[in-house]
Amino acid sequence: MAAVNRILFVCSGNAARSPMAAEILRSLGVTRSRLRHVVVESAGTHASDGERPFDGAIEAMEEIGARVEVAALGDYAGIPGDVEAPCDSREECAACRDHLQRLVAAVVRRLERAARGDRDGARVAPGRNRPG
Amino acid sequence: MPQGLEHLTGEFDRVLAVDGSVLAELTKRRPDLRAELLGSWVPGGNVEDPFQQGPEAYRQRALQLAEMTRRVAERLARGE
Repeated sequence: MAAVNRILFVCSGNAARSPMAAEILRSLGVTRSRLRHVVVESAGTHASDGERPFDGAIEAMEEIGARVEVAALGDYAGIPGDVEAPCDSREECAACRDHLQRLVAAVVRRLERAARGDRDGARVAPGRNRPG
Repeated sequence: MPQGLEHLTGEFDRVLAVDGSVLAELTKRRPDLRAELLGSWVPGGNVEDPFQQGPEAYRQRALQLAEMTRRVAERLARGE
């Protein structure tokens, strides 16, 4: 099957669910060479201009950042075929710890840029007052 | 940075709707996108709207999406 180059997540307001999914997939792509070329976007069936992502979505992403990247640590630590397996020694592993911190920081930076409406930020769009 | 359906241009290889109502609306308005249900492409079911349900709802949706998206990443990495 042909490689996927462009993927779109869709929810209602593009304010929480699909932007979160898109951001998580982008984050996972950081450590997966086969996904680095994939363009990930999000949209909403009822998204409208001039709105921001829900604060709840941003806060949730900050909270789960570590959890998401623990999965990526499986790849980083060279555990083949099972991205769920984290590096068991990550508490003592400086490389894994640094890697985790950098990835989480990158997720937070992208979300902050998106919240400010920067075009280079994640497509975490609208809607404090509408469903996401 | 909103992105309503009217702003979508070009072709997508995969279009994944987070729940059934979104898929229905998407299919009605943009059948050209050939959208699929995220919860059908990977296990995990519908991702319900957390709107106005408090921080815990957002956290739960984020965790649900993290797991589902991880599976999406696995499928994409396999070239599916």
